[in-house]
Formats: sequence, structure tokens, C-alpha cells
Amino acid sequence: MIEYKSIGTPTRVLDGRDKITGQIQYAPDIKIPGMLHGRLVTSPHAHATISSIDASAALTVPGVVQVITAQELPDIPAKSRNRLFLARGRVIFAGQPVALVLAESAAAAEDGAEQVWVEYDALTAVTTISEALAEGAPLVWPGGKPGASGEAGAHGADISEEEEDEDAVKGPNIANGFVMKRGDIAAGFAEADVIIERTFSTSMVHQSYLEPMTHTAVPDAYGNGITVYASTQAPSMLVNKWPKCWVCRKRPCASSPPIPVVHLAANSSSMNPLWPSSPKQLAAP
Amino acid sequence: MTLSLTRSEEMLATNPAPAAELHVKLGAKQDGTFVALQGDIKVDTGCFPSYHGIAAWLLGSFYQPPHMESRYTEVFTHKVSPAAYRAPGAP
Repeated sequence: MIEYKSIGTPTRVLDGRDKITGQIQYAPDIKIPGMLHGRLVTSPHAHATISSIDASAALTVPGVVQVITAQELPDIPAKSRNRLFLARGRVIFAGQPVALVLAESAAAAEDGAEQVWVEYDALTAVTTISEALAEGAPLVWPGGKPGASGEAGAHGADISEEEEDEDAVKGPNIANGFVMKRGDIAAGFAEADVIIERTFSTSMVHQSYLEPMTHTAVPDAYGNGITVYASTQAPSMLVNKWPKCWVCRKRPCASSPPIPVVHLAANSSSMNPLWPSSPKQLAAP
Repeated sequence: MTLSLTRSEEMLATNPAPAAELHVKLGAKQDGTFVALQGDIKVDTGCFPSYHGIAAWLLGSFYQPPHMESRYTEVFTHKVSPAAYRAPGAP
């Protein structure tokens, strides 16, 4: 009989004791003296053009320090979600961040965000696959599509025998696609005794995290770098996504932001590799 | 500075698992042998590409019928973009 070392043996959760005794520090628990608090202004529309953003009232709220919109950020191609932190000129999903209010307290930031007045011209949105593929449907990217992120590939699929044709699936509102073939599909069904055909649909699913997505950035007082405390499963991704120099496209250079040192907040994300939205640096300041 | 999303912002603005429509056609012999497998997989990728083509790859990976065709289409919509979850529709 095989004797196992691990199977059947109780295993202590590495961070269990700290969690149940309240000692663990989640990302929102991190407090740095003098730090500013951010609050997002988000779009109520799934598709709209932004005609104006008026932050003057927000800037009179006690404690509000600054309101940042896309106008204050470099205009770089929105190749991926990480490159479109704030909406520029139009919004393309409900909840998209449009402005960021910085204040001396979380409450002041929230009050300030309520005083940022954004005027939208709502446009027709496509919110299902069939709507998006219909003839004449509004385009999500009328000025050119962003590229594929190519995140798959590490999942070990055995596809070596198939031929993949990426040009076979193209069209308006199609991000990417392909057709893979092996053998002769018509001949295969011709020799089948039984044919079963089904259509399945799945809906968008979201997890409810133990802690909210939080990033805290602390610049070095002498300009020698920046430390980011992040609720992420992928600190290396945060470093890799850090902005390059807007001029020479290199990193680092004299004018690019310093590459951050990333500290993981000791939380559910860092201890659990299966929190899929957590590697995206959507909240990185 | 710090930015900590509210629960509402988490649900609105961070990446969910994608919605998908999957049409599958399977041909088999009387003895249960699979001889043909055809899949048409459409994924709602929201406003950014997410590349969930792995769904189409795996369709032809777990089962190895001699005749197979797997089509993958990733469709833009005016919704938040999804992320890499274990499978369409499952966290």
C-alpha cells in the first residue's frame, strides 16, 4: 500500500491564522501619512460622446486637491484596457471611469466626485452578440480596433494537428477569430449513425471579492522611484504595464515615470492564484 | 495616493467572465465512437479583445474525432471587457 505524505494529512492555510485573528492587512487597510484618496467618476451610459466635463464645483469642495480627466493624461493608442484608464471623448461601457478626483480624505473625494458634471450625448449601444453582429450595427471601434491581448496559450491545449485560419472570421465588431479544421467535416457527419446538435449560452459572471481592488502608490521623496501596494495576483504584470516614455517609447529613460517597486498587500488575491480580475491594473494610480 | 474601488465599481468596471454562445454538433457511430465534431463559439468580449479562443482549441483537444471543425468569433459590444477565467460563464 502506498503511503502518502500529503494526501489525508491536514494542511494549515498559510494566512488563515492572520485572517481569523484580524491581523492581516488587506489592501484598503494600508494607510500612508498624508496620502491622497481617489474617487472615480463613472459613466452611466454604455455608449455616448462626452461633450463637456466641468470640475469647477468639485474643486471648491473642502479637501479636494485635483480632478484628473483624459485631457491631463498622454493621448496614447487604446490598445488594451490598461491603456485607457480614463475615457477620452466617448464612453464605451457603463461604469467606465471618466474622471478621477483626488482629495485629502475618502469622504472629500466622494463629495468631489458628486460635483463633477459630465455632459453626455447618448448613442445607441450594442450589448449582445446578435446585436453587435447585425447588419448596420453601431461600431464599438469606428476608428480602428485595438489588438488582441493574446492571453491564451499557456493552457496546454493539444491542437497541433489542426490547421488554424485566422482570416476566415472577420467583420465589423469582430475582435478576432479563427477556424480550425481536421479531416473532412462533411464526410464525418455522412458516416455518423447519430447526430446531436445543441446550442448553449452562458452569461457574464462576476466574482465577489473579499477585498476591493486597491492600489496605493508612494513616490520616493527624492524622486528615486515609487512603491505600489497592490491587491493583485501579478506584481510583474503591473511593472510590465508601467508607462514607457511617451517620446522615445523606452523604459526607463530620463523623462519616463520611475519603474515601481511593487509590494503585494497580504490578502486574498495574493494568496489565491485564481482571482482573474485581480491581475488587471485597472485601479493603479 | 490610494484608489480603492467600491463594491459597485468592482461589479461595473472590473473584468468578469465573458458571456458566450456555443453551438455544438456531434456525429457518432452506434458503438459510441465520435466521428465528427463541429463547434461555433461566439464570445462577447465587451469593448476590448480578450482572446478566449482557448474555448475553441479545447473543443478539438479533449476529444479527438477524425473530422473536426471549430469556429471562434470574438465580438465587440458596449460592455466592460472580460478577463481570463477558467471557462466562459464560470468563475
